[in-house]
Amino acid sequence: MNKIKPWLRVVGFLAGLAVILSACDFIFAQTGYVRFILHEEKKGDYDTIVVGASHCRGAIDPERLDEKLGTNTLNMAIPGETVEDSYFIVKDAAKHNKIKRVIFDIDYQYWYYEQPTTHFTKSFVYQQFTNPAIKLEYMARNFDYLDMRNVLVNRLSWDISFSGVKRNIAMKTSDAYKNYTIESAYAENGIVEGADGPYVGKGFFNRQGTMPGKMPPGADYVATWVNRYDDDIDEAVEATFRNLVKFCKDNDIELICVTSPITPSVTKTLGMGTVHDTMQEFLVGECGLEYYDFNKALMSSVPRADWNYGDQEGHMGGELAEVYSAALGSLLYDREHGGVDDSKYFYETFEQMYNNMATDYEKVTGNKWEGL
Amino acid sequence: MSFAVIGYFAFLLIGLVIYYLIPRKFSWIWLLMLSYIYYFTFNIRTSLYMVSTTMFIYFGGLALDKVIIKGNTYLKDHKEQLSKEEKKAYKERLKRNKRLVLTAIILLCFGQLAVVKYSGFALENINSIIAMFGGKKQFNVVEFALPLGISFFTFQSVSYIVDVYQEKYRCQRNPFKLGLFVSFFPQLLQGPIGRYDRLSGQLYEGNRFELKNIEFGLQRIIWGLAKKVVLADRAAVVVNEVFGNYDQYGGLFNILAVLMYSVQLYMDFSGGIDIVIGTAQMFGIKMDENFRQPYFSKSIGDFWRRWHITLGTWMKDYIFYPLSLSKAMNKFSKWGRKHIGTFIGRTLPICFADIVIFFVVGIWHGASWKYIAYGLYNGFIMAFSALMGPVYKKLEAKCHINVNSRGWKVWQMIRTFILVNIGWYFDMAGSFTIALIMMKYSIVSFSTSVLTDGSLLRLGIGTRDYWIILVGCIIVFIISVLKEKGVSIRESIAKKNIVIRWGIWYALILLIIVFGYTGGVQAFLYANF
Repeated sequence: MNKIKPWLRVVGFLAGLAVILSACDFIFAQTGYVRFILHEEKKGDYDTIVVGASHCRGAIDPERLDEKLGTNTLNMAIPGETVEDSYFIVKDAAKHNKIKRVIFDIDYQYWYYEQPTTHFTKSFVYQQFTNPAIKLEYMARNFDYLDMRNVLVNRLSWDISFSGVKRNIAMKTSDAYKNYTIESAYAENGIVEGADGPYVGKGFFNRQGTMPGKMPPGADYVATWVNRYDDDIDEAVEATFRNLVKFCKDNDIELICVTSPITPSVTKTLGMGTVHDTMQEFLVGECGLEYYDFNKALMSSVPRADWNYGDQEGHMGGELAEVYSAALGSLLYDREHGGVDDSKYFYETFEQMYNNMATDYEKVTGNKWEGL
Repeated sequence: MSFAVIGYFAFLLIGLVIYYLIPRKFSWIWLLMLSYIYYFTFNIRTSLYMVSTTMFIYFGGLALDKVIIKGNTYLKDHKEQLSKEEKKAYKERLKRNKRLVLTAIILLCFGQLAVVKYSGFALENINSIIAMFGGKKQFNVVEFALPLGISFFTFQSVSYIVDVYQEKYRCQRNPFKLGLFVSFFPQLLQGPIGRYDRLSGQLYEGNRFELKNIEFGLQRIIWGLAKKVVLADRAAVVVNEVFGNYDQYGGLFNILAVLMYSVQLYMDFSGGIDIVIGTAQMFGIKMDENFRQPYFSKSIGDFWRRWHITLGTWMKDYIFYPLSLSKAMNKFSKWGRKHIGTFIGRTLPICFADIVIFFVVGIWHGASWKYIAYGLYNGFIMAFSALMGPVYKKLEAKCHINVNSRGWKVWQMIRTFILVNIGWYFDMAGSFTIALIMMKYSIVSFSTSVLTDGSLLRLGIGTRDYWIILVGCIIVFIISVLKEKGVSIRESIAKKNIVIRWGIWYALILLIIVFGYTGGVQAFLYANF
């Protein structure tokens, strides 16, 4: 007995710690729509999933794709979702669904620079996973990055305030939370907290654009990205993506890459032509995938102005998202029925787009072009 | 691999389980494997420097041992045949041979360090001098990838070879065992600089499992992590902002930044050492302490006996004593006593040795003039204090100062703290010139308005963070006072009832999680040296 006693103390201490940490997580960790989306996938009847980051979150409405293709699609894009996060999301989704196709939205911001190792977003998505196997693999892959504190608790979502605790407890004891309904993501007046718009369905949120004629905010942020795309793709990101390509290949999943269009004027400011060439070379040339970059979409295909976006960086408003999603659906349909005619959807070059976008936009919409 | 990531804890867990499961005679092999695996997680290529250093001291040790044994055997065998003069001459020859081997090995160890760490700095300066005199020839500056902890393992290795030379102990004949002494993973990146005679037995003989070692080791790791992530990483935000944009700040901003740096550096380095010592303790290995409440020092000399203790003792044992007791210094001392006076004659060699030591301490920190200035600043203060000792005593007597009073001791601590902080300008600033500019603007643009206009809140941290730093420092201060009085905090906690005991450790873990700086765990500062 004397020999066991110290060990019982160890077990007791660890059990006590586990209880305390779980209790802290329960009262401090905020919940939100990411939990809801990651649970949606567990319904198990999706054949297509869309992954990407915040640009994709409010850009691709799965309903528009399904109308055209007869598929059942879920948009699983999460703001701050890194390429590595997407890899794990696809793996997790493939466990619960018979996934036939993955639409990967290439968000330029996540490819040129690996997210800082202990960046908020780096562990945020990891913390939302519930599948122990996925968590373990994530830990193993990031063993030399992943902060121990982020493994023990969801501290990145903690709100340590009286009102926060009250709100958390009320939410976590509610039926909405237990049943994983969208109300568990704090929907107020239809607007889901953190999603900047109401939930439409299948993982799509209808985000607010900017008032017609007004320029979207966020010029300062865009300025920090100018000239940052002259380098090559980050090697670590590239390696992770290759893992996803392999996973899809091994599991007979079709992987299609697209880039949802960002604010047209910013496309020019940031030199998206260079980005396009780099991504094209990697995705098509090296990985053998199909890549459709809607940054150079014809105005007749996706008529868009700067004010269609919530900010200059390129978060699309819901109105444009419907148009773009329909165009994407149409392209994917063509692809399955005889092939895509590039000239139907895209300008030949970015230069051609920059030269014609204003006049084309005015011709197609009848509205005055008001670029930045 | 940082100490705060999941990989380190998994590595530690696996390491410990296997260490205590395998027979004790093999445990050193497992430790060696762990150490190299750990080093490989940073860079496989640069670990070759560690291998080469091990080889230098291994073969150097064997060569020295051969010379020593051969010499001693010869002397023993010819005890009767040799005259006193012949014995003396033989011993001299023996010493010369030993010294030759020692010099070669030290040159190899320090030569490697010099090439990797200092050659770029040296060539840049040579190029500047050539350009200053109108020369056109410029040397190509080759930048080497700096192996982590190279200064630590080089100094540790040199201490071994000097000790073998001094016949403190016999050399280690197993290269792998010696490799473990050089590479023992917890101490690799930031010390403490271990000594072979104190570590070898613990490393090679293996240790029996004791739950208390695991418990105390883990507690020390948690305490170290708390200091690092709650205080050091938070203070670092202000330090980086002000020192990184020195041209935009002055006055109280600079003073605050340097005070924050004193918090950051102490919590970072001592926190890292807590993790190192705690990790080693979990393997049943007791390492030398590296800190003893340094900010309670009453003089710069006292500070260096409390701060980075193992570097200080290394300098004392391997530079200060050999230098101050050398023939040249004896001659210098004799000359001084004869021509300048007994006190100064006796003190000057010590002052000279102090300046040399702190020049080395400065350059040990990095290849930059600012580090040399930092070292010399400390060296000159030490030398000046030594020379002014009698004057101070007279002044104290004249002013009727009770040097044993608490008030005087507190004043000495404050004075030393200010002197130390002035030194930190050199340590943290981007260059020597920037350090001087920042010092200047600390005074010339001094204004107290920044305390009330909210501009201190624009340095990257908010009111809550300042409070956390303040309260954290008060807690560390109270603990330091208790430690200074000889109270063992952990032993005291261990005697409390289970609720209090566990409560304290649970609270500390929560403290790390809740108040740990969210910007992510920064790399340990001393790992760069």
